[in-house]
Amino acid sequence: MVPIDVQLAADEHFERIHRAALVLTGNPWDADDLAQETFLVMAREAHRFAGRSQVYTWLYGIMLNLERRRRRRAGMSRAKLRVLWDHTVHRSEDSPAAEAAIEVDEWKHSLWSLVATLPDGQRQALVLRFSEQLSYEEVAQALECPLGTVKSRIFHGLAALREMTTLRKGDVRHVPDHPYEDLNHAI
Amino acid sequence: MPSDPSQPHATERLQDDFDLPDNLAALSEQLAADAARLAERYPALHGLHAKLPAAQTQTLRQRVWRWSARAASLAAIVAGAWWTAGQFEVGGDRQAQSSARSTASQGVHDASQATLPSPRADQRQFVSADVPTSGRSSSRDRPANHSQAVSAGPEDLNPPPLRRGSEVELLNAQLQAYQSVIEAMQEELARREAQQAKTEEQLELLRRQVADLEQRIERQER
Repeated sequence: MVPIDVQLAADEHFERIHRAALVLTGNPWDADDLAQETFLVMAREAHRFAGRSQVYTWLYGIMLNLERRRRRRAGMSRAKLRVLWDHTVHRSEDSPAAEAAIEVDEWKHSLWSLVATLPDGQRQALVLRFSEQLSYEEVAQALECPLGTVKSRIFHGLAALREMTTLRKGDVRHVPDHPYEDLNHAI
Repeated sequence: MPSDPSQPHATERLQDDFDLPDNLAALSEQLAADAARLAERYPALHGLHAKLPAAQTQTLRQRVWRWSARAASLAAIVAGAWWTAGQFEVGGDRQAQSSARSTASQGVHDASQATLPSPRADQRQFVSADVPTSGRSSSRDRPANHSQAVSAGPEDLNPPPLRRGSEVELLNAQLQAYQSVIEAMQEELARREAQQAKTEEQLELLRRQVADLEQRIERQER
């Protein structure tokens, strides 16, 4: 076991964990919670850090596990709500931030909102590689999987993303320039 | 390892060990650019958040509530055991029996109450009111011989499960332990809440400073 200076680790890595959380969740409030939760887990489980990887790859691993659990929980509660109320608002089903009214517009219009619809493995690999710009070895350490798997996930993730962007270009939607534009139309 | 983890890294790193087709490489660059823009727009408020672990306070509150509920249900079990002992006592102290019964009913009431309050309710009041401590006082009134007691009891057609004295003592000890854990958690919660209030004050001060600065900038622009 390798001792970790919790305060130092938080000072050094909070921003990068928060950034990855922001990209994954799509809103700063969830990102704040997720990043904080990651460091709480780190503080609690610091004695388990074996030192086989860098502290930040270990932290990414914790954060991704927490995020996956959150998504699952959100999905379950959504499913329960559907049973109670059949009448639901139509929204993008797989987006983790779809439930929150306080979504970030930039995120919705960025490629990351499409990444959010990919399977867990691809999504996480893409975030670590292209948002956090970790090397493939580091991504493999954080995700605890072989290097080849990481490369394959990234390739297939990008390919799926390309397909989605092609579809999105074909499906031209009107995006209001101003939040009140739709309201004016309605009136 | 990158020198500054908070800064976006050089885009050349994206191409290091894995040759992506051109169209996918362009996509990956766009992903990196989007992530950098998002991070710039919504920076992490590390200073404030490190001092204000709201999630931790919330978790602690939930834990206090959970432990309170457990303690209350345990109290009900202990009280139930004493009540059972009192029921089957032969020629025992009437006063002790009635006290055991009242403890039992209090314990059952507490157990039913334990599921009612929300985690946000005032736990201090909840715990102090719900954990009876009088169960141990009637230990001298326990039946010496359980088999004799059971055979003499009027409800022996369908008797409730009888607990041995040692088991009751163990449960009592557990209850005491739970109580001390709850007290410690309450103290910690109070400390954290005080800390949170202090940080909120600091935040308010900062907000005022920002508003003040904005006003100054406006004035200067005019």
